[in-house]
Amino acid sequence: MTASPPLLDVRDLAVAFDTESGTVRAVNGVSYTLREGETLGIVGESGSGKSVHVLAMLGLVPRPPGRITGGQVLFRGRDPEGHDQARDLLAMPERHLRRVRGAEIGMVFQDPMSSLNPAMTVAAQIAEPLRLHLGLGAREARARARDLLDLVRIPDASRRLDHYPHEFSGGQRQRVMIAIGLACRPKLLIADEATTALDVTVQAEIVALVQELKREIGMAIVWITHDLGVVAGIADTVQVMYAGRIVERGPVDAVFSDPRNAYTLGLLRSLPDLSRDRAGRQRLRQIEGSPPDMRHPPPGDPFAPRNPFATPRCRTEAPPLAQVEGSVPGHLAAAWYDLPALLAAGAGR
Amino acid sequence: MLRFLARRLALAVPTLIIASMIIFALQQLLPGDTATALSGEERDPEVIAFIRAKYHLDRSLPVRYAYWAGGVLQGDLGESIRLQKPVLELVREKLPVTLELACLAMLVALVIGVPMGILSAVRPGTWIDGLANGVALWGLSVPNFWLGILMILLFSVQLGWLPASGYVPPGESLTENLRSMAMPAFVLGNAIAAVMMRHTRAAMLGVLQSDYVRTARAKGVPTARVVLRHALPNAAIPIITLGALEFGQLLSGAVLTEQVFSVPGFGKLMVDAVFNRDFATVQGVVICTATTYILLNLAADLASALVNPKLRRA
Repeated sequence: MTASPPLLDVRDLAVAFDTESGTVRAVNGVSYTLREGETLGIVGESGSGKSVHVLAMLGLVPRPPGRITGGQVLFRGRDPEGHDQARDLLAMPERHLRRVRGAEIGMVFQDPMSSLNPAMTVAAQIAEPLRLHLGLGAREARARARDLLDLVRIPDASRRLDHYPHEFSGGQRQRVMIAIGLACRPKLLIADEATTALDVTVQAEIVALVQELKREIGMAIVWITHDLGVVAGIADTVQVMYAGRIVERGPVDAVFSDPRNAYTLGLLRSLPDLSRDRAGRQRLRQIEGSPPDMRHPPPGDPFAPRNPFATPRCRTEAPPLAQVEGSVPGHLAAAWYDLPALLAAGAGR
Repeated sequence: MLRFLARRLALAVPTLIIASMIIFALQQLLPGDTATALSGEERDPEVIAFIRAKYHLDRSLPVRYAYWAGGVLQGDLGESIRLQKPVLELVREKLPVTLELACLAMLVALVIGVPMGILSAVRPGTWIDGLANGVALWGLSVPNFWLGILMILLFSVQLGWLPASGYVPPGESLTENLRSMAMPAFVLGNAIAAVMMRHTRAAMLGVLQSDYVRTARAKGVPTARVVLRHALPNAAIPIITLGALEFGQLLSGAVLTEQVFSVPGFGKLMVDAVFNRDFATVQGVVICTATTYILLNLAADLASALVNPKLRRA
């Protein structure tokens, strides 16, 4: 791929939660890289570890009960002397990590209704990272906050600065969240289910806005969602997670047109297809069963119990994530079975 | 904001009228009779009749209420039968004492209770949390009068640092005044601090788990600022409401504590008045207390509106 070192290099990240009924292994050895300016879509159902592993790398998982049990997260940001350098976020003291959060990595969360502080004006909330990380004075920070509201297309920005979150609509609040996330021009924006709580039309607006902003600012994006449609529209690379592991990863076109993991296939098949005409209508397919209990994960491939294509080996040995033969470079999948061959043979219709 | 204020003040009027009627009626349930109590040992029927006529005690209850209410509207709270002094004068004498004691006790409660509540919420399950909960349990369980007596034994009798009783007006000597108030204020504040701590802890625990606190941390805001700037204002409303209620309680007089430390405040005035069937004084104190209660609640609502922008336009 590119010669330059990656912006983000996650190596074997593992996160566990200690609960009264046992240890939940939420993330089990996740490794991937992200180039500068790349948009990565991470999909998976609730509990797949897609949000938790991101919160964990930023030190935002409450400890206890959360615990990082292994791995490295190398992020190429500015070190305290201002040099570009890859540093392990997990090994950083909290006061250094704090300089990364909000300055070099911006975050946008799921529910804009509850993610903004109801007792602070939006000006104060947008200005805060500017003042903390860039050392701006009150007046400069306020002017920048107004520019940021303009940037996220909130009309009449100067008048809205002193309004409180409850005076904005849901979509506008998410725009404010994005303004906060982008305030310090981060190299990486992480959107954790950023459109999930919004109406479909507002979702489309937010996705379009983020795409425009990406063209203007050029940051890399990690877009966490369970909405494959959004991923298809926004991402360069897609990564499917299940039971705290990556089960498939690759360029969006390759993964969507030629899935090699049965779980990816299941997700794609559960999408409604509006282009199909009336005669071709069919019932939406759902994935049978439910995710494994992560206190006692099954041996082998955790998806095997729900997988109609599972082989005996799937039940005893977890498949590694490996380059898919006959697909584009960078298309990786974890599967012991040959999905296209099985489909061609008429299995799992 | 002004309309909000005006509406709340208008609502206070019927509250006061009803409160005064209730206390007026309830006093009739007390055994004993003012005229008899005043007539001395001989119980001369003529004297009793004279007293009855003088204080309109021979009239029906509603008429007596009307006499009294008419006086109140003209700023006349009546006259203490026992002390032969206008009730207004008694109130003016005692109110500053009680007010000072209440303010000092509230200060003790806030200084101990709120920081302890915040610390224990920020570090739940640690030794700090355990210590704070232990202190709160102690504060809630120890009776005021007992703690007062123990403190007198230690600080006055054993160590001789503080006066055991008596009250020095601040105009005379501010240091002596504060020395005389230190123990009663601590005893009263200690119990309230415990309640404050529990409420602060509960409110902060809830707020610290909220999404906007996570947002603040994701912005790289240092922990102290997350707690004080992002979380505390959102946790403040229950604390303010509780503070106002407790302050109102303090203003109506801390009967036992005032008794233990011989502080000449509202509580002592009230108890003496009830024992002597000095109804005008009881009425006057109740009206003053009810008024301060209402004003304090109003102040609490205004303060809540200041910290919560959503309430401002309500």
